[in-house]
Amino acid sequence: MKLIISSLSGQPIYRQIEDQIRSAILTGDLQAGEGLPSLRHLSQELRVSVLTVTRAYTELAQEGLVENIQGKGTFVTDSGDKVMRQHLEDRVQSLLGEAVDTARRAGMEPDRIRGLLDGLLGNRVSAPASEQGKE
Amino acid sequence: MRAIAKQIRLDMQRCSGGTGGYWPGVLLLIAAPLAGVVLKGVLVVTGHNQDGNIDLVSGLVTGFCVAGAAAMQIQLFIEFSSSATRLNGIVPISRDHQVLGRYSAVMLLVLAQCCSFAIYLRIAGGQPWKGSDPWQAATLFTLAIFVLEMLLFALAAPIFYWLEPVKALRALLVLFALIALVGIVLAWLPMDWEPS
Amino acid sequence: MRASPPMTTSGEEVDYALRVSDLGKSYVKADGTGFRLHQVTMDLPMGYIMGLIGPNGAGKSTLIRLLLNMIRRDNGEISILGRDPLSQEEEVKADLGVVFDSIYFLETWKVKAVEPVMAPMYPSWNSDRYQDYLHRFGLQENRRIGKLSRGMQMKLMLAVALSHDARLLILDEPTSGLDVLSRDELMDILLDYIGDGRHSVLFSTHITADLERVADFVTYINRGSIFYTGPKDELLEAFQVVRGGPDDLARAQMPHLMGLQRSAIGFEALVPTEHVKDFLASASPAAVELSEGRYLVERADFDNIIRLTAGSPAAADKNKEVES
Repeated sequence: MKLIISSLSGQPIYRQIEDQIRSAILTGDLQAGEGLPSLRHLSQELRVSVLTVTRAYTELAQEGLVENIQGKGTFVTDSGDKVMRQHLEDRVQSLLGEAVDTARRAGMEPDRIRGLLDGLLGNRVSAPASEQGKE
Repeated sequence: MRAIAKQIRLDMQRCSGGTGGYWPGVLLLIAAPLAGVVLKGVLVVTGHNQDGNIDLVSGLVTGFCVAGAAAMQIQLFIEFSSSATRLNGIVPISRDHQVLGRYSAVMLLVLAQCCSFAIYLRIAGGQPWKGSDPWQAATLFTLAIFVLEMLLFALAAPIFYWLEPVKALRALLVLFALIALVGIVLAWLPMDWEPS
Repeated sequence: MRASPPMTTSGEEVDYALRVSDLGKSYVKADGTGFRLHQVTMDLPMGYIMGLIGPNGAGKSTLIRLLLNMIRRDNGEISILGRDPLSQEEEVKADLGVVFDSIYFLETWKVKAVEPVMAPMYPSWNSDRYQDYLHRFGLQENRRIGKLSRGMQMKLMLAVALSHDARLLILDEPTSGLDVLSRDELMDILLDYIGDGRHSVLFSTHITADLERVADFVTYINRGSIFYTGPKDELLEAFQVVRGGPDDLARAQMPHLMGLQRSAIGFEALVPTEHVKDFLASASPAAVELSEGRYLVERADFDNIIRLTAGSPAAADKNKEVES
């Protein structure tokens, strides 16, 4: 797993960790059932405080993306899970929203947008692993 | 008890001045009388053991002993004038045990010095008081030194614990001045202090 | 200000490396001048790093000296690793590693004198580990301690502190006088040290960059009192820095800010995050949109927080003075 932490971006470090793990899960870089590094291990690797990593993991667990198994560690939840699907759908919606906004700014007609989408749906079998989190 | 032993060891190391060993400090203290014994031997062998020479050696030995005792006390208090005093706040020895340990260490060191001085007196120094029994004289004289040094330490230690180093030094000097003054006043008094 | 109790990931009972409650020490003289450490309460759970921050003279060193029994407390409770350092001083100190901002050995000593002095002090002294650290830090046994640089002296104390299996490290300004590399190295050592969850660190510093990354908890002392103690992130999130022009600060906005610095070209205010809206709304003319660009609102960092709150027990009062 790759994590890049910026100390200059205005974003809190726990949020950066959280965002990058979330996007790794949503793009499939982290598979269901896969274990996250232990809190203290990741804290040493990133050279950030243990509580910072704890907080990122806790928030991901609250979203249902990962679960904490007592004594074993933190694991990515099964993607068949409702939560996971909900997350993916939310993400699709937000990406599409962004696409629509951009299209409007470009002055594209709704039909043209639909056409593009149909074209993409026809050609692509799986969605591309696109944008990473903020780096 | 173990904590007190730790403190005694620490203070012996402090007296040994940064070598980490326990004995250099002790050696420094007992060196002068032992050297005096050797010197006396040399004088006897070379046939120079007149009274005047022996007195000179005795003077030297006594001088070095006093200097050694002073050096030891300064070694023990030098930490108070630097940040090194904070070592006392770190080591796993409680304050009470530190005080007990320090008194014990000083007592042991002074005792070692006094014993070696007694040996010198007995072997080489002859009779400090004319006509007295050499053993008794040596013992009494040594005991007096021991009590004096311990008293000096007992006075200095609390002063250094309670006051800042500079103030403590001043207080000690004032104390010495007072003692000297008392001595002078007593000397002036028209009384006969000589034992009859 | 006091944050919520610490969380554990697993939910088991929290073990504390250090608990301090209602600690006080007064140096106030008869004429009312002097310094007072007052009602200090803080907890450091086992397995974490706590930073102690505050301006010079705020009471950080006094607090550390109280923890080490180097001065007597007037009132309050201290528990270090579950024990009272007053009644169980020897047991407590055997489990403590301490680093001061300057060396606590006599400067005339040689480096090689340190081990024979310190090893007999601790039942669990690990000579191999100590030698490893000396080697790693490049400390030569034959150097005089007084001739070592400040950074090397710190490393010597650190080597001692890490070689007797201390459960709690107390570091007083360990990074002052260290270059960036050594500071980074120290932070790595500290993270590694608490890695197993059985060890904890309390360190005071005025170089807040050290804290931003590695500290889990922060205690901010100002004028002898605790301003904040709790998770570091909560303190950082509790405040925003608002900047604006010299004429953009209205009297009505004053109650919403915790600290203020003004100059001829503008002002800088520390505003509790939940008051930012009110602060902006009470500007004149009111109802300012952020996007208008009249004010700049940013996350506060430790330096902002200390700079804007230092020297004022009740920041709001001070601000009124500045205003009038």
